[in-house]
Amino acid sequence: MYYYIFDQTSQKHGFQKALDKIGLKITDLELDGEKTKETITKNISLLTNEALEKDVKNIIVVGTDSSLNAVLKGIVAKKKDVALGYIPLKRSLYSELFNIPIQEHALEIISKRKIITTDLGKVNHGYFISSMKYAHSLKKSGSMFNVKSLFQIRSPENILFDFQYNDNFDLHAEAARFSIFNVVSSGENKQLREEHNVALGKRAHSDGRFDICVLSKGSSPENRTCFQATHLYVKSHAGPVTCILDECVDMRSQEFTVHVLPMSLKMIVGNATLFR
Amino acid sequence: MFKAKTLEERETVHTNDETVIGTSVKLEGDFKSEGDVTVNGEVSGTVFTEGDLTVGETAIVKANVHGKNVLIAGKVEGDVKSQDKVELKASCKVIGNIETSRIEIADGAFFGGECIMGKTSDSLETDEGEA
Repeated sequence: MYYYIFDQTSQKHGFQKALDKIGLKITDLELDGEKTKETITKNISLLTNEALEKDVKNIIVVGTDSSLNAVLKGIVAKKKDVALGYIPLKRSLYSELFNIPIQEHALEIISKRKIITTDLGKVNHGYFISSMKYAHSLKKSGSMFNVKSLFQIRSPENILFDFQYNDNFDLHAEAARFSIFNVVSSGENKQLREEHNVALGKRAHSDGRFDICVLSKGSSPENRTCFQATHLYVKSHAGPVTCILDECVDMRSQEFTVHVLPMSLKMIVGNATLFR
Repeated sequence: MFKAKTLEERETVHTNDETVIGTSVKLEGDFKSEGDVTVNGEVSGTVFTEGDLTVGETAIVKANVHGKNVLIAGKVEGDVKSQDKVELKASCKVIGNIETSRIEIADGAFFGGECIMGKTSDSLETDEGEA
């Protein structure tokens, strides 16, 4: 049985036609199930908890990346065996990462039920599938906060960060930017490879570790630091800083404890080569 | 015969199995890796890799270092162990002992210490196990 969660963005007037088409396609493909809507009094977290209490096996999020992130947070926190599906209303990080077309076309993917299991990143009380990024003086503004903007040096001001891996080593870096990658889309991977000689492996989503890239001042290869870790403690020496999880969730803190949760999310995906 | 990668070759390739420590970075503690490691910053402690280790010109390493092939162009204070080959570039300054099967020292390289040749990878693994 499918449990649909329509977020508040999906209920905006501009998406009414798209919602009509989604409704028709659900019927056509016999993907019917319970449909719920996010409201002021019933947010995504509450709806997710309700679904989990009903022991549903498939939750489908209709809306934006931040809503999908909120739902996966609920699923992973309760350690439920649920497959997560996504109907993005517009192109986004998750739609690209999982190769899911937008709006009613996403239902074709859901009907094929290609399910992958992927590692998940946990940072403090938040989660990320793709990456956690910090960039000085850059704020989240939709797709502007991507890898390209992350590595573009405008007026970089370095902040001293500690990256601590257990008691093994402590890495002190004057960093203008850093990224902790779990898995990236093929487009983002290509960009990383071309501009910075950094390439994540094809099995990055299931290798149980992060790739960490730290950039200081310039973006020359000598200023780049890259290493791998399964968990990490990151501390800013300049007070709280804002990191962005999966380009859709802000997290402000001075200290970040980051872990890999191996193979902890089941996701319905398109024919994504990343997950073969 | 195995040919160690040159410094230039190693700097232009980075895969997800490669670790790079940048110029403005200080690393303290015991660093272990399965892939290739390039150090351009400051390191104190130990560095152990099953892959190749490159110490760049800007690197200041106060650590015992182990690698399959070790190429040094910067400063190293500590013992160097290699399973295959150690290459000392003209710009390097090494104060410590070297254990390796093969060594190449460029004209101008500074090396203050003893060099023990002919140790096998088995003996290196035994040493590591005892540590």
